[in-house]
Amino acid sequence: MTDCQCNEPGWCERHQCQKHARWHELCKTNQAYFDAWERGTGPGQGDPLNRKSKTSLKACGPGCHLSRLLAKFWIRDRAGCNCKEHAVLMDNWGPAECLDRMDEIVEWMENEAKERGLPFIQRAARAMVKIAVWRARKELAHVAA
Amino acid sequence: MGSIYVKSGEIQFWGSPTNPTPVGIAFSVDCCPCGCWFYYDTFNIADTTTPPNFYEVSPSDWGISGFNLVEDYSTGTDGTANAQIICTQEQPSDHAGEQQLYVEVIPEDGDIYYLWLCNTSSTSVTGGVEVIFECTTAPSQWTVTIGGDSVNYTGVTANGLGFVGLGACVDADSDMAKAWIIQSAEEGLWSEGVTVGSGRFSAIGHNNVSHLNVFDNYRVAELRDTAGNTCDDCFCRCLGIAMPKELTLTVVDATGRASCAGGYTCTLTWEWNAGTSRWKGNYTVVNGAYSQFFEWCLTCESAGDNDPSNPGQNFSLSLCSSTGCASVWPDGYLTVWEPTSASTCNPLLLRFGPMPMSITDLTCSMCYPPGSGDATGEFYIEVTL
Repeated sequence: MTDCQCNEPGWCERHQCQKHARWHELCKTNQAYFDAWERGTGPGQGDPLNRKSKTSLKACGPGCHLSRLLAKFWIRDRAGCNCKEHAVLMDNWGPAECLDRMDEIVEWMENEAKERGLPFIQRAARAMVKIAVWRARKELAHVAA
Repeated sequence: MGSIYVKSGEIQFWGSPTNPTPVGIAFSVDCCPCGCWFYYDTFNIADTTTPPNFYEVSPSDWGISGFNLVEDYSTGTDGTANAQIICTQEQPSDHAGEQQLYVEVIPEDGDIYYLWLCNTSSTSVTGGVEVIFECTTAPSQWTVTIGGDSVNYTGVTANGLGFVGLGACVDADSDMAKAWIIQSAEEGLWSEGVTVGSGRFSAIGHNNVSHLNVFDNYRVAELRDTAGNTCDDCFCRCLGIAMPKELTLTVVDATGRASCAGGYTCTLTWEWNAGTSRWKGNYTVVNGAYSQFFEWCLTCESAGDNDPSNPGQNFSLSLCSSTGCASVWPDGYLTVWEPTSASTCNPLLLRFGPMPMSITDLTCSMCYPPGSGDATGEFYIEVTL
């Protein structure tokens, strides 16, 4: 076993990258992989799309882009809504994890739509998240370049 | 012609049936930058008690008889217990600890033969890896052993002259060794966690006292040249790093129509005698009432593994068998995927994709019933240790 500190896959604060389940397993069990992440040369660490997006790159992340998209339909943050918190959380997750957590994000949107008495179409919501992720990826790549 | 050794394009003849003594004829065949070193001895020289380029370990009695290397030479009818003979031809220091050795024997029931690789001395078999070939029933049944690992052969056939070819190779950096018998389609021995020294000498031996022991066609070679180019490597490598027998395949970044496949994983296992160097593994994506079988082949082409800017370039991934869900791939299920630029060799991460998926593929029932669900999606495949 290595000195890996993460209990589950996702954002790794120590190595500043997203780790899916297999990478997390390798980080915990394989010293060569763990050492590579410690050196900053591990899987995903050279990929700007795998970084903690907004805070580290000062670019608009997936949460930020989803907020912008919703704003075009006059759906904005309001009292009692966790919209901003969710957007920040999505930005911290980054594009890859947002796609992994698509169901969770869509559920937030559905709950908020019910609160506001708005019609909700799941396929449309998923499409918006994908567009937001795509735009975030594009912007992050541009910032990294 | 008796024996040949080659280094950097120079060939020397060390004897022939008509001229048994080392004649030292040398001529240049300028093939640089190849420079792959090997030593090969057919023992096709006149009978002698002193085989050239070999060091005999007492009390054994090695010699050349009938164009073969034999022990016990003087009696011609029996052998010496634990006889050893060491090749004095030293592998170049480049890639010491990486070596391949091959020799042919005429086995009898109960025989035991030894190969020693990467020894540190030209006068003893110390510091190297010992490979044991025990012939339980000649010539078909053998047990091959390295350390605590062993494998059984049941279908070995001798060649027309009664010889069976025994081979082994080692890699010190990865602590791995392989051993095999040529005349069989059965799986050889792949031993991991072997302590391999950094020596450059090779040796053979036997422990058969009841008959004359006959050997032929001794060949020892380095696996890679100075520049890291493949010479006669028996390990598949990623930028010089030998790959293990088992790898792990994982489906990652699965989105949309492929989202249910994310996280699926399987073991890729090396296939012996597949006709090409490859690992194979499979998994079935199950999602409620729907499922889809995927069987993947990771192929290793030994050549062209020297470009640090393109790690894993000698690997490719493809489906081993037909499946749905591949209709929108460039060549359908026959598509061969090259590693993406995100791939690395140390630590190993070979990333392939994206593999797109489409609702138009009506034979695909992976995450949704055919014709329904997300219209598009994609996934990637990652291969790691």
